[in-house]
Amino acid sequence: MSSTAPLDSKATEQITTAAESKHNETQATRRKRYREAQEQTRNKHLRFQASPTPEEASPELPSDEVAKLPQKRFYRQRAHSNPFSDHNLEYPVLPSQMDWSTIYPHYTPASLRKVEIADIGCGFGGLLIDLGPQFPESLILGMEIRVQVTNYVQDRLIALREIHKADAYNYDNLGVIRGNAMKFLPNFFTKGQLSKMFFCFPDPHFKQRKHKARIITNTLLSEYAYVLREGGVVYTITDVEDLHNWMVKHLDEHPLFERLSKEWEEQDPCVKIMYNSTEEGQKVARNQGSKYVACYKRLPNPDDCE
Amino acid sequence: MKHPFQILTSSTDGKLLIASASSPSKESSLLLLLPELGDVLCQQNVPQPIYINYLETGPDKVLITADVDKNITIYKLENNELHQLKQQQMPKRLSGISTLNNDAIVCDSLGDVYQITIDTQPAVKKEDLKPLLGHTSPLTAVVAAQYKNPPKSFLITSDRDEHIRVSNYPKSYVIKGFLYGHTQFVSQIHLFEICKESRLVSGGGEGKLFFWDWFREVLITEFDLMPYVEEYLHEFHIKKSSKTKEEQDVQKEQEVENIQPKYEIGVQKIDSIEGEDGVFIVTLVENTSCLVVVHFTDEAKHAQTIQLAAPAVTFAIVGNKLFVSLDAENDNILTIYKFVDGQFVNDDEAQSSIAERIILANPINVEDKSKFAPFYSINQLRKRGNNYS
Repeated sequence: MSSTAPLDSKATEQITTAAESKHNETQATRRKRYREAQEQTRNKHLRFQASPTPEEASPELPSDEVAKLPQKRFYRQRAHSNPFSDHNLEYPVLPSQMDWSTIYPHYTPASLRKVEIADIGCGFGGLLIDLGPQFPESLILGMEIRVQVTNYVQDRLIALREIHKADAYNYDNLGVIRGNAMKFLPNFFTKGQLSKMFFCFPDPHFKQRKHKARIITNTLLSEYAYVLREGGVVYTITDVEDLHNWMVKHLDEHPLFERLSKEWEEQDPCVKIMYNSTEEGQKVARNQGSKYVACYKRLPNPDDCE
Repeated sequence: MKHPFQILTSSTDGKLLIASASSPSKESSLLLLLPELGDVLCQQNVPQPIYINYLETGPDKVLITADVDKNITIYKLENNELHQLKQQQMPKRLSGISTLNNDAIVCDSLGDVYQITIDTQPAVKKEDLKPLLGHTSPLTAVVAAQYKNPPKSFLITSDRDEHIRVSNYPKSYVIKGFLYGHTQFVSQIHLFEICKESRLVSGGGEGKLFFWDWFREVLITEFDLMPYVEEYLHEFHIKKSSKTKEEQDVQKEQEVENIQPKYEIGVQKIDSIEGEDGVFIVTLVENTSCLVVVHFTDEAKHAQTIQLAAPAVTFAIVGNKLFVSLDAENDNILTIYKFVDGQFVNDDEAQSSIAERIILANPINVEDKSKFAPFYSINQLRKRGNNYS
């Protein structure tokens, strides 16, 4: 979810000329082959994780396969997605039916650990990977609507776990799912389950008639407030000033949220991570753009509400 | 030839039957009728075809319509005439209407719920309307529920993506919870009371009824309608394939004849009537020539299947009478049943006199059946799933 990525993809399209089509064909084939190979690896991991038997509890790749970080260029996808489309998504009927063991390698329901931190529209996973070691005891989930981008994050996590399997911290508290958070958050999370929600560089949806598609609206904030616990925090960051003002306006208007001070932002480790770590954030920094941050605390429900 | 009624509904006090027919040429009429005799209290042509309507009677008799041109119109009934109090243009196509205290609560296809006050206040610009609450999915219904102890109001909303949400009211930005269980679109939600407790029944694209203790957010029981409607299903209900025509033909040739076709059914309307022991839920599955009656106590049991002469367009229970609008020719567009000892029975007397009067009062005529407006759109809520991302 980025404001600058569409420019990139457009530029790439323009370069595509007839003379280059042959070259592109081979590139497309290469991408296809790469994606297929990665899918096989991914499936292998997911299968192991879905049915962990004592022997298979920590799955190991065949020794001739060396874990490699995925290459982003094979996962490129247009930056926008229509949140109102159906998308053939998979999601549980209710939170207790979600099989988290397919997302987190060592997850067992008995451990009673629940997802506590959600990165909505996690993109290529930069924030997740920096948050992970900061909160090793918490399960952190990235939600991303674009298939290829989700695959990239999944492959990245698989590789990181493999590379760091002997280390004290091995990224096993991070997970990603493909999903539409604007529609299906209550299918994944129970009332008050989350302590932090991140909205980093969301799609600005510039056109007036597309504003309902923005990830922060008055009506959607009620759903975020539902899954956030009292005292939980909504983090927002964007390089689009208009969108920042929009998010601030709607969060300010919502009776269940209260803005946190600049002083609070300065001492909060997550703000620092959010400011520096996402791919979009780094791109903005490279282009010397501005980044606008706003964080809000979830207030208690009024006494006369259930 | 008389055009069938698309809307039949009871006034909230159960004293009036409201009927409306609209031809495809946007000719539209609204009837207020006394259910006992079929007397016409009021017949009025309304400017645009009506999508949904509802009547609230307090000191004032008020009628609210939501029309296909996205207007909410509030009428006052005075001297058996409808006088327009207010018309409010809404931003999106409307998909449900309910009342709470002295306000209309409406929901739309973009997923938002609005409150429109019933008064003579001038309408506001549709851009300035602020929703009470909203889903990202298209909404299919909104109802206002009351919890008794302590007394408190809630709004219950249902959407195309399987959700039923319970929100506080008036602080509707505080979500109370969700009623989980549907695996297809929810098309109908209906509140009823049993032993002074408020219950909700919902129906949708699974062809099942779900019974809820909505306040405790507990699914009490499910009831599968398929076994009772199966013999009434036809071409319309056969599961649409995403395959191309050619692929389908090939598949047909290869198929063994006795393979059962897979059906897709959707719940078009739910209403209820209190019986001596428990509540009777009447259900219409879209485009079927039957109504399924379910007896609910703390479990749900099949009570009766009412076989109809033609597919039902809609129905309403007013007092102890069941009025069914039929998708039929030759003016056989209304049939009436009486509720006696837990059974809906043919009301011959009513059929000959009351039905005849109501049918006669319907001013909407068409040349033949092919000129009827389309009646069946519930199944269009079904997700066909586009795979692009």
